[in-house]
Amino acid sequence: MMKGILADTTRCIGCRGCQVACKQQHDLDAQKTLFFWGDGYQNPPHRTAETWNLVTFNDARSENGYEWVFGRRQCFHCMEPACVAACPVEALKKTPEGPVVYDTSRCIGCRYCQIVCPFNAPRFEWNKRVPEIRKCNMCADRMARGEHPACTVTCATGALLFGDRKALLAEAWTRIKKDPDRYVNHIYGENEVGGTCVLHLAKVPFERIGYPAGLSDAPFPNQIKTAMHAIPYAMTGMAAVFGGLAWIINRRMSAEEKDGQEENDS
Amino acid sequence: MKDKSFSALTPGALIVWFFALAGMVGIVVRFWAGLGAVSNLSDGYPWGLWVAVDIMAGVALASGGFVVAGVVHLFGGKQFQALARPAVLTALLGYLMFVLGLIVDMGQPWHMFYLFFGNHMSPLYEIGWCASLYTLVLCLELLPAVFEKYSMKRALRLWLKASPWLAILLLSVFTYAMTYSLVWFLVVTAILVVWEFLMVGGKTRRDVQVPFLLIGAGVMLSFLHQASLGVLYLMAPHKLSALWYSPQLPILFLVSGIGAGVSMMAMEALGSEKLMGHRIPFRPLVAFSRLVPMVLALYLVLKIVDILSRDVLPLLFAGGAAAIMWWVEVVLGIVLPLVLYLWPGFTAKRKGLFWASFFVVAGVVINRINVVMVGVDVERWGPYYPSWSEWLITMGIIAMGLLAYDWLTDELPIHESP
Amino acid sequence: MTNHWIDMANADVIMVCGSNVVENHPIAAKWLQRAREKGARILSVDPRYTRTSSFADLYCKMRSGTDIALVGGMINYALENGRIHHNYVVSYTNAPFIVSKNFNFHEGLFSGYDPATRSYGGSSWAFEMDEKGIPRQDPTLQHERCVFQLMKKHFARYNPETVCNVTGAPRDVFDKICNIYTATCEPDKAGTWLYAMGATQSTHGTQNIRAYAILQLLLGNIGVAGGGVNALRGESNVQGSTDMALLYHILPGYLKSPEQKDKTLEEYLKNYTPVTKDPESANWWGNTPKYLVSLLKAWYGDFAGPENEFAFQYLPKRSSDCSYMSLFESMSEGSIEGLVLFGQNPAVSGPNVGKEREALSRLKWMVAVDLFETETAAFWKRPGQDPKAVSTEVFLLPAASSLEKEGSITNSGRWAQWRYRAVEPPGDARPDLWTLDSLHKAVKAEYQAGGVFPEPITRLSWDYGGDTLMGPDVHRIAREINGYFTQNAEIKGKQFVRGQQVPSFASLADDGSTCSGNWLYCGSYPGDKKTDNRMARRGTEDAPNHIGLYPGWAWCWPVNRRILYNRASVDEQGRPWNPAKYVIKWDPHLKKWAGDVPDGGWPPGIRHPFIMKPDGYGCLWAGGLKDGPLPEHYEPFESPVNNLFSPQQNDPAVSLRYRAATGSIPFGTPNLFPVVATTYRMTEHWQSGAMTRNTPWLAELVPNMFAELGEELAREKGIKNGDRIIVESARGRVEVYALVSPRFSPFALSGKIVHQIGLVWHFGYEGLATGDSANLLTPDIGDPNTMIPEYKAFLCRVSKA
Repeated sequence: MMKGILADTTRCIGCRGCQVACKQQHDLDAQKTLFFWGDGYQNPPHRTAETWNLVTFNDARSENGYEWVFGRRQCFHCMEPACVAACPVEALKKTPEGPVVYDTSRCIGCRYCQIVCPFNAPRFEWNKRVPEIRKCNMCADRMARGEHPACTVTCATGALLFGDRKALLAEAWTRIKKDPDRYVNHIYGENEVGGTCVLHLAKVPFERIGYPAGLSDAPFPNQIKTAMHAIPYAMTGMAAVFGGLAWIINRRMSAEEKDGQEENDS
Repeated sequence: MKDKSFSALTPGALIVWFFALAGMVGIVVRFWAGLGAVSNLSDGYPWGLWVAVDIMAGVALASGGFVVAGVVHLFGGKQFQALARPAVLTALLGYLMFVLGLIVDMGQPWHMFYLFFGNHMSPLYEIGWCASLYTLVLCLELLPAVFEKYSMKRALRLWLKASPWLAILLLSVFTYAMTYSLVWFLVVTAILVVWEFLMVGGKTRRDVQVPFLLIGAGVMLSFLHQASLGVLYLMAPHKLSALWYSPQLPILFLVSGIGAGVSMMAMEALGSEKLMGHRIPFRPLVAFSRLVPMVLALYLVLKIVDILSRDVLPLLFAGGAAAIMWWVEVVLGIVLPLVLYLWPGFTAKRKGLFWASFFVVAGVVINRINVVMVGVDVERWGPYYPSWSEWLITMGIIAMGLLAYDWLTDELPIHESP
Repeated sequence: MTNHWIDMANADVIMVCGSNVVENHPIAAKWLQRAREKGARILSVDPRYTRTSSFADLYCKMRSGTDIALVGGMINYALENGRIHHNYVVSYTNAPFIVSKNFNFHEGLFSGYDPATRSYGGSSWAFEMDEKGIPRQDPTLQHERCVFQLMKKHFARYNPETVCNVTGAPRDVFDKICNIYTATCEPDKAGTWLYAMGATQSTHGTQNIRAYAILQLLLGNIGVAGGGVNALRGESNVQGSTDMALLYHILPGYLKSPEQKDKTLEEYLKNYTPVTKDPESANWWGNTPKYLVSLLKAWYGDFAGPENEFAFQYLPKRSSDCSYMSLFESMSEGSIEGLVLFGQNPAVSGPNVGKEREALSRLKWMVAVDLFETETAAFWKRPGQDPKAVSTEVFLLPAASSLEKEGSITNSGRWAQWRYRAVEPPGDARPDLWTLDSLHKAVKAEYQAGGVFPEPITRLSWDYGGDTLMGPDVHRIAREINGYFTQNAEIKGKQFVRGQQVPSFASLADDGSTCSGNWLYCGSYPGDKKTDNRMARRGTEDAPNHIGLYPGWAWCWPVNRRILYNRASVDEQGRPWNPAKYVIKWDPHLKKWAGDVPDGGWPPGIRHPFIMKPDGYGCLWAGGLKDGPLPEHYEPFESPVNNLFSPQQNDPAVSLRYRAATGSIPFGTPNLFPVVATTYRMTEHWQSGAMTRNTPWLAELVPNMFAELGEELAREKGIKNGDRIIVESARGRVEVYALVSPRFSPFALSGKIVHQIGLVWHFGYEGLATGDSANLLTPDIGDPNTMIPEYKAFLCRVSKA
């Protein structure tokens, strides 16, 4: 049963308990920072190998006045992840329970996963001798013990809810229908890039709070499926074509040679 | 020859040695202190100069090997025979430099063997297999030069007999690795075995210098991974500017690679003549280079059709770094050399051929830089510029390649004796 | 709090004024979210758009220091539009009481003011008594001197135009706030008022709270579910601390600490035990003698008896003002030798810390008991201080953290929750109990060898066992706080033996037969076994009225009554105003109360509900405060504008002794310091930052000191987000980062544009994340009733560094 997280940003108070709980759970380092990023309290400026989820502070003002809306950057645990399709050594895997997990024992550090991820989730340890790719793993180890991800346990207002993806979608739609003035009529992650396990609700359009816009519903791996499936056909075709061409040309050449030889001989 | 090579203490040689050594130091630092210590790569820009130049451009420029070998040994281009060995050597060194660049760029290169048991739907897996096998094929193609030097006639005969079967084995294993399907494995093996028997029957031994299947393997593998380098970016529509992102990217990479490879071979030949005093077959070279304008014209057409079909014309005139670099790439790298090649008599002379080739090569290098670096603009991250240590390591790898080329062309019968 | 945290989920409207609840009490947001799911609306009133404002449904901006103007405007709105709970107001508050005919309010001053002493005196604020000695009432509320009419007249000046000109609140938003909030006057609607330091840390802090209380009483929101005047305390156990008399003017259980004028026990009890002639007033403070004597018995055991006034003479008698600012005043004059600090960091958290830091060097010795070396403990080597110039001997004792010791913590809702030791303290760190116990034993030994008047120390009943490593047995202390019988006794037919725990404060006596360390906590530990520790209970079943009381979870004072003054939630027949969310209700057949512990077990209608007041009525009129029976808006002492409500610019009762003592004029004027400044807190840091600025994950989130200013002011000064700026007041200067944000916007005060900025006050020169302390700027002047300093409204100027 695929699990997920419902992040209802209308309930978020921007306290960043989730950000720190993640660090505590996974024993991640604190980074040296100087000041904030932007006109809110965002820190560190970006997710890094030591910061797996990041609360963002967004100016979402409208004609109704100023609004401060908090968003969240983390791995979305796509249903059909681009990173899993991209990874040549199967260091990234999509588990049936939902989390996309990373196995450093196979990783070659090519960082192709970083290139293809629509949400820029994988982060790299640029300053380590044995660098890993690091990102949120939905606390897969906690899930295996029957516990919930650390961020969802910490969240005081229930902005982060953990459960079956289907049940979360149903709950999200219930909330939208019950309170249409409070919510944008969309669950971010329901269909984007083929659907993600981390779903978001918001009271302003998602691009106003920094969520990648313009993502189609087609999973990213679809972009390469055609090309990759074509390889054996290409092999066969090329073998036939080049082989055929080469055979024809060489037959003509050897025929010419034979004529030449015969001439010489005669 | 000896006094014109890099073993002499000419200023040019010193510069090459300096970069080679400095590059090696840089590589050691990279492994000791991590990638971040020697580069400006970051989570916003995880691929930079090394992927663009060492890896992507490197592979493109090394394509001369399979083009020449294919034309000479598969398609009866006997008059270009003398171009073959230098081209293959250039290709092999190019691939070895590319592998070195890869090892430097990868975070945990000691896991590279997992590339062979990995995710067969990943373009990078395909490139890994393909490029590795092709390097093996290049080594095999160069073996006759070694046999020649040490007069290993028996080895040569064995090689002639065994290498077609080796080629079939490589291609069949490759097919299985790409599909994990026994059916495809059998299909491709069957076709290749048929091809081999067809070729052997009705051939005289005198003409069989290099087994067809070996060359054929080289051509097929090259086609595939030249294109796959473009497939890599198909999954990055959100990252790559529409000026370059296109479903046709694999074809564009393949076609431009062919043109670049041939031009690179011309530059290498002319360069080694001037700097190392090798004797090169100039007339055949000029004749062979007539392929380039055809490829350039095809490439230009493909590029224009691609731009028009994706409705990105406004972007070309929008101003900004990306648009400017697109024009530089196309004007300097396609239009200009096309004009130079078509200019009557221009490329019949050494200088002319050199410069025309140079612009083709530059164009492809700029194109790969555009795709990997310029065309990627990540929100909320400042622009990426390679650090001096990235440049240093790249130049170092190139310098090492030059030194190896110098040494091998001295040791092995690659070029014709003067 | 009159109510408690979970009860917030019962509110129909939640007013956050004088607090930033979601920021500083993020867990409370859980209950606000529950309230919202049931349809509640959340209002945020703040000079700055905060994380609470982001969470709220409506945000109204208000200049720092103008709470009384705004709430006075809401009171005026309620009175003008009849938005009051009429029955409640007439029956349960002192609205009908008739005030002395000598009462007067003129040009901002109440009657009885003496400008020489800056204090009010006389009896003009008292009620007219009838022949029985009970205040005269007019239930029709028409008498021109009844409280209700006096209030109407007083607050008539708080019309919306004036209010908005003073506070800078936008008129349309202010009207909305008034409308939404006063709609809770309906009997089945409740509004809860959440406040914290934003309201209290002011020269008129007490009157701020008074304004909230008045409005809540008018709306019938006290004693009901989802109502109350709810202080959000700033530390996890500050409620426990104040219960146990951390503050200079009280003894445990909020008994008054004796002053020099209270020469005997009898005089003391006469001075402080309120009396009433009204048989229907429970006047619970009338039990003061029982509680004080029991306290003395707890402290001095057998050495306290009727023959020696129960050791009353052993208690120190203070001069009137020993408040925090007064202490530092004395310290800077050199009259204080030593200072012991338990988890306190005055060098960052006091007002005008520049002066405080200098005062510290006049000490002969200092003992800092803390988890980290704080700015105070390191004052002698602070930036700019030559350590050789300081002769203070400083001891730094490592303290165990709250996870490393056992004991109770009392939250804002008065719930005392028992905590266990989770890990051993590292190294030599010790629980505060061990440190105090050791200190006491050492001082006692010194006194036993000689010294002046040793009895108050040597005769202390101090036997709490325990091991030497972790200190005394906290259970024994808790049991003594609950109290026990010092001799066999019989109460209402029940027999108790000597040494037996007291079941509740109803059993406490003034004859020395009981002892209790804190009468409020009677009933928290009514037996000898650890299982009798009611503070350790974790029952998760709610009471039958399902309003989140959870009577089986921990224990709250008094007597586990979760909502105070709950007799005001029912009518005189004991029927709840809101049956759907009843707090208590009278079952006439069973002749019992159901629901919460009733505020006095008597049947309905025979006692007035506000049992802690002598009269038994909720005080719209409070004659016992130093600066007025009704709140009146005065400008903060540093203000950019003149007071629009009266010619009296500032609170007339505020003591200015510090101004006189320093000889300098530490107050800024608007021509030099045109910008209003306030200090505030963030979720990520806590108090003086001693703990949080030493935690890497938190230092990562907020690494540096900053001042938040609006875009308009930033443009004027050429300041961009992230620039270094200088903020100066008449007392000091700080260099900080500028956070230029849309969350501060200029105030339009009668057409004059006034800017306001805010600074977090968590920073100092020690720890991982350092920065200048905002309190270098704040003024050392305080509320006349509590002496709490003005941290929230002062003047400054801003410039690029």
